[in-house]
Amino acid sequence: MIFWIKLAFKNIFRNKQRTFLTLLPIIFGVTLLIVMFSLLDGLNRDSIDNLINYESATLKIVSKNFSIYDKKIDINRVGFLVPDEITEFLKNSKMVESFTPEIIFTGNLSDGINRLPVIVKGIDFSSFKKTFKTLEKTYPKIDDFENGEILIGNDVLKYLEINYDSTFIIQSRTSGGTFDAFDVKLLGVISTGNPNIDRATTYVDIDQARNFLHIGRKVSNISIKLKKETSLYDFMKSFEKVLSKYPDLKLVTWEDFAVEIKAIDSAKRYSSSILIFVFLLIGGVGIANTILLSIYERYKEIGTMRAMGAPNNVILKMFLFEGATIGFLGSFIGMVLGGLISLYLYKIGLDFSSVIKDIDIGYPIKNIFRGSFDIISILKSGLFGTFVGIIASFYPARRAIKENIIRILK
Amino acid sequence: MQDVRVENIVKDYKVGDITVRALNSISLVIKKGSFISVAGPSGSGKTTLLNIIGCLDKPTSGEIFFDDEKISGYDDNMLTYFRNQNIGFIFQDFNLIPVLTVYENVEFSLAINPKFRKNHKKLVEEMLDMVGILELRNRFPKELSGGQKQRVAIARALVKKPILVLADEPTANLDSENAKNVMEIMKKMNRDLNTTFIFSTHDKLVMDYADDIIHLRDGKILQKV
Ligand SMILES: Nc1ncnc2c1ncn2[C@@H]1O[C@H](COP(=O)(O)OP(=O)(O)OP(=O)(O)O)[C@@H](O)[C@H]1O
Ligand SMILES: [Mg+2]
Repeated sequence: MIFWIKLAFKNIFRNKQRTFLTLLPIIFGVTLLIVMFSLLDGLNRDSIDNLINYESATLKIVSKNFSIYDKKIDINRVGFLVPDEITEFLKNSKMVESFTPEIIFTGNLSDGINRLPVIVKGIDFSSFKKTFKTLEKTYPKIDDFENGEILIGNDVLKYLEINYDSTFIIQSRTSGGTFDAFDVKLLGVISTGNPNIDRATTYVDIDQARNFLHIGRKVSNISIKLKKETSLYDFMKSFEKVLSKYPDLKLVTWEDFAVEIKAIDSAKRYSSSILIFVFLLIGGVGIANTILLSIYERYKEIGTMRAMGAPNNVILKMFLFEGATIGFLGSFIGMVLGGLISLYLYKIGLDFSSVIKDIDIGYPIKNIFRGSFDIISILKSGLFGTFVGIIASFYPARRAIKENIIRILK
Repeated sequence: MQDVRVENIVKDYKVGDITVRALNSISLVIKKGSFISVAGPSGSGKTTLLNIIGCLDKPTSGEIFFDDEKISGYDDNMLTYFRNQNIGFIFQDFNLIPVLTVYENVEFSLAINPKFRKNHKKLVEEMLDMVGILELRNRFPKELSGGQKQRVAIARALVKKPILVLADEPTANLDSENAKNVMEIMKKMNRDLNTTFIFSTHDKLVMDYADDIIHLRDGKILQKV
C-alpha cells in the first residue's frame, strides 16, 4: 500500500506544472464548497436564533383561527382568553423557562406629519423580558415600561421626525370596528438585527393595548420559552392532556415559523450547489485529462509492468491512486483555505450593512453575515474532492489495461 | 524439472489484406536450467517467438507447455498471473521505471507478486548484491550507465525466482565490454539459481555464451546444434 502511494506521489510530481494546473479548480471548488456551507449554515443558525429570540419563542399557544401566513391580524378572530388551567400548567411545568402574553395588532404610527404602517405588540414587560431577548437590545437601556410609552424598531424611526421627548400617535381599529388613536412617548429604540422587528414593529404596554382595543383580558398568543436541553416534542406531549380540553386553542412552534427560512435555505443551497458542481466537474475533467496524458506518456512503462505480470487491478489502482492523490492534494489545500475563511466568517463575519441596507434578502438577518465553523462539514467537503479525483481517473485508467501489451512495449 | 515445450507454433499477422507468417510450425523443447540463444536475421521471428513463449502473445495455432501445464489455452488474466509467478523479462531498452530508485525498481517485481508479502528488503538487497550493484541501490535510472541499468533489470527479473527468463536482445544497446559483463551475470544467475534463460541476439560473441542456439529464418528453425 505504502509502495503504491509513494509511486503515485512520485508520478504526479513528474510534471509539476501540469499537476499544479490540475489542482487549481479542485482547490477552488473545495474552498468554495466549504465557504458556502459556512455561510449558509451561519445564516441559517442566525436566522433561527433571530426568529426564536425575537419573534416566535420556542412555541406559542394561539387560537385555532391563527395562521402564520395571515398577514392581517384581526384580534377579533385570533384573540382568546387564557384558561387558568393553562396558566397553572405553564407555571408548574419543569420544562418551561418562562412564558408571556402578546397582543398584536396593526396600526399607523404618526409623528404628526408622517404616517407609517406598523405592527404594534402589547407586552408584559417582566415576563416578556424573560421570554425574548428583544428588551436587551434597546437604546437606551430600560428597566420598565409604563402606560403611554413606546419602543420603536430603529428602522421605523428613520422615516419619522424625532427629537428628545417625542410623542407619537398610534391609530388603529378597535375591536368594535371604529378607528381610534392614542398618544405614546418614545421610550427607546430597538435594534435586534432581525428586520421583521427593526423595520416594522413597535412595543407598548399590554394593559394599554387591551384598553385601547377594548378586548378585556384577551391575548393574541402566549409565547413560551422552554428550558435549554428540553425537547419540544416532550413538552408538547406533556401539554397534550391539558390543551386538548380547549379545542379553540392550538400550538405553533418555531419550526412552523421557520418554514420560510428553511425554504429559502434549501433554495440557496441548491443554486450554490450547481455552481460548485460545475467547478468540481471542471476539476474532474482536468484530472481525467491529466491521467489520460500520463498514461499515453508512460505506455512503455505500463507495458513493462504488465509484462512483468502486474494484474489489471494493480495498474488501475496505480492510476486511481494518482487521481485520488491529485484530488486529495487539491482538497487538502482547499480545506485549509476554506477552513481559514470560514473561521474568519465565524469569528468576525462579513459586514454587508452598507450593501444591503433595506433590501430584503429573505432571511431575518441584516448587517453582518456570520459563518459557521464546522470541522465535520470541512472534512466532508475534502473527502468529496478526493472522491472526485478517484471517479475522474476511473475511465482514463482503463486505457492503460485495454491496449495490447506488445504494441505498447515497442 | 520444468521444461518448456513448444509444439507446432504458427503465428500469423494480418497487415491489411496480406497475412504475414512470422512463425511457421516451430517445435522445440527447452530443458530446465538451460541457457538458450535465439539467433537469426532481422525479421526472422525471434521477438515473436520470445513473446509467445513469454506468454505475452498468443500463437495462431500450436501449443505451449510448461511441464504438463498447457499455457496456450489460457485467457489474458491467467496468462498475466502465470507471468507474474513464473516468468521474468529483460528488455533491450532496459525499461526501468524512471521515478523509482534501483531498489524500488527491483522491489516492484515483489510488490505485484502475491507470493511475496514481506521480506522485500532482504530479497532485493540479496539480488542487488548478486548482480554487483548493491551500492547503487538509492540511485535513479537516469544516474546509471547502460550496463548498470541492465543489471538492475536482471535483478528485477530474477528477484521473484522465476522458472524462465526471456531477454530480447539484452545487449543490443550496450558496448561490447558491457555486453560481456551482462552476459556473464546472466550466465552466473543461470548457474546459481538454475533459472532457464532464453535470449535473442545478433551478436556472435553473445551467442557463444549459450548452451544451445536456435537458428531462425523466415519463421522456421534452420538447424539445432
Ligand atoms: N505486429 C505485427 N504486425 C505485423 N507484422 C509483424 C508484427 N510483428 C512482427 N511482424 C512481422 O513478423 C516477422 C517477424 O518479426 P520479429 O519482430 O519477430 O522479427 P525479429 O527476428 O525479432 O527481428 P529483429 O531482429 O529485427 O528484431 C517480421 O516479418 C515482421 O515484419
Ligand atoms: Mg526483434
